[in-house]
Amino acid sequence: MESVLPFLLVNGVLLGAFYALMASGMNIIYGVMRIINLAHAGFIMLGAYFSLVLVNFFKIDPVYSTVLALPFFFLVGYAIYRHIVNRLARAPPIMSLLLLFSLWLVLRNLAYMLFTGDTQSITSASAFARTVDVGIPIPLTRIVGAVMAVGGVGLLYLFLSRTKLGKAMRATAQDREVSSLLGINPSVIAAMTFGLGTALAAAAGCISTLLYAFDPAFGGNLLIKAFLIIVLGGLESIMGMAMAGLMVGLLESFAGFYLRFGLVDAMSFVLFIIILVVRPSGLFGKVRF
Amino acid sequence: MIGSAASLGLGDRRELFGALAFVGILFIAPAVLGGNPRFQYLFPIAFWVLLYISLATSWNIVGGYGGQFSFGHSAFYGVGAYTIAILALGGMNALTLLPMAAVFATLLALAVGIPSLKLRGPYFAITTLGIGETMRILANNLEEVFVGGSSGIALSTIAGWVPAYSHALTAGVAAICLIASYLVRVSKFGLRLMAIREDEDAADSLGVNVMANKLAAFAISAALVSLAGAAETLRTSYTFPDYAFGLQLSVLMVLMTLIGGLGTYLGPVIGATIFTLFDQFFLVSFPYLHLLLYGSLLIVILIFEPNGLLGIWNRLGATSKAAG
Repeated sequence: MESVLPFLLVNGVLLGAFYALMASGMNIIYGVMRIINLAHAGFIMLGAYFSLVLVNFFKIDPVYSTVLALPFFFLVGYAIYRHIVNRLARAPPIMSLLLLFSLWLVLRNLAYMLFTGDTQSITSASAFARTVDVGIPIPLTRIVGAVMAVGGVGLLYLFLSRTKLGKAMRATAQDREVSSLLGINPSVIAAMTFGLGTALAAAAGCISTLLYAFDPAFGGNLLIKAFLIIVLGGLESIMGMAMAGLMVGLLESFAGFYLRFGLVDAMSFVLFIIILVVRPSGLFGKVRF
Repeated sequence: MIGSAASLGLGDRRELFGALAFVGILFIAPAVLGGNPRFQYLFPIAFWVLLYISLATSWNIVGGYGGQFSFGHSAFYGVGAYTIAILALGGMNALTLLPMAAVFATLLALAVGIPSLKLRGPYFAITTLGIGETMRILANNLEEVFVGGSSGIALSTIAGWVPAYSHALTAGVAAICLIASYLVRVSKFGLRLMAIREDEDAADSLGVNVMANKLAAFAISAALVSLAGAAETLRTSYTFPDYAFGLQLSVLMVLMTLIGGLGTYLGPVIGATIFTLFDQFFLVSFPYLHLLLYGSLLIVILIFEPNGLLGIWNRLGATSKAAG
């Protein structure tokens, strides 16, 4: 038993780092616009295919494609917000939920048409695909992925707390009316936020290729986990979200060992339902939905 | 915005009879024309139209009239399918199984509805998404309860059942769903649901028991969906978790209703019919294009005409009246 514990801990932490990044894009979009971005899963999936295309055609390592995905998917997200999502900005929130859900459907079936439904795996395509021994053997790609995820969340934290644009996003999240009185254009901020959230989702998708195999339906189970992490961590707090990501990662790592492996996702979802119903303000957050 | 005054889709008696007549035609047509090899393809199409009418019409009771968007209705479809499959393995008679499917679905709806219906709008929607997915994972992994695990259950024989009955059963289920939807629509219960949809707090302040009404709509809708799940399982003698509890079915119910006209009486019927035709004609040659087109159509509808095809129809009617 003692020999398993460090492995489960390390595995949980590495997984948790990835989860935190994966949830961060959905978190900022939710914070600023109060929209649950169901297309998030679609952008994670597209990020994974982005890195597949770069590996196959340009021999670019999945680790580096993460960096290339950021500007590309920022523009994609920005354009989608400007031309589609923006039109329902004033409609009831359930309408934008449905719109983004339809967008996910479109993205998924676009991927089926372009890449077929075959499961793809490029975990071994990376130059980092080897096992290192830090007391316990761990695939280096997992460590690289986790480091990049932590770096991504750290940069997001710095961006939101130090830069003018980041502060404007936080101001819009806190109070839309007052921030527009202060000269912040909420619709520009919303488009920027949607672009940033999309870019973060795609970056998480690129990193996920170091960890998982994927197909066009990839990301569906991550969607509920991302929202679980947001609900657990509360809004407006990157640290809360990082903690929540870590908790979910550890929980799944241990549950996968002590429970039946197939039930791990179900446990996360049940936890999600319970948290949402019992304590909708999150464990660390103050904001009520 | 949703279900605003429209000349079609209000659910008067004329529309009920029209819908039931349509179900009647779908029931009879394959039997009459099925002997001719040229029309053999009609049989499966009629079956799917009937099944999808049942699904969309039942979903519309809670999602359309009540405004509570469930993204996890496949949970109830799966309960219907699995009730039939598991109990038929035990040798129970098929016709006694049907009410049991509805009972189990109602119990599940009450169990998950009481906590989750406290949440509003998007939060309820995403919670039901979690409920559907949880059921799918449980069915895949808990072989003690859901016999067969991920490979599902195949039935060779079902006591008291002849496969030829299935078309009639599916037509019957569609008729039950349409009658139930009509009765809800014209009742005070239906009015209370629509009041909740438009403004939950206002309805509450006028003395509407919000929770009880939402829960009743959820349970009725769940029971009807489970009957459709049972009917399909009796037809195919086979079911498996990723289909019966899958996200795809939950999505279809929402899609078909929205395309036809959310919260209207005939909208789900129109949406289901058009979807099935799309599905049958595009699926063979372009397996993914039809869902891509469907998603795009939905985006266009949400942006320009949230009342669906019925809304467009009524708008055209209004324009031609004004012109004439």
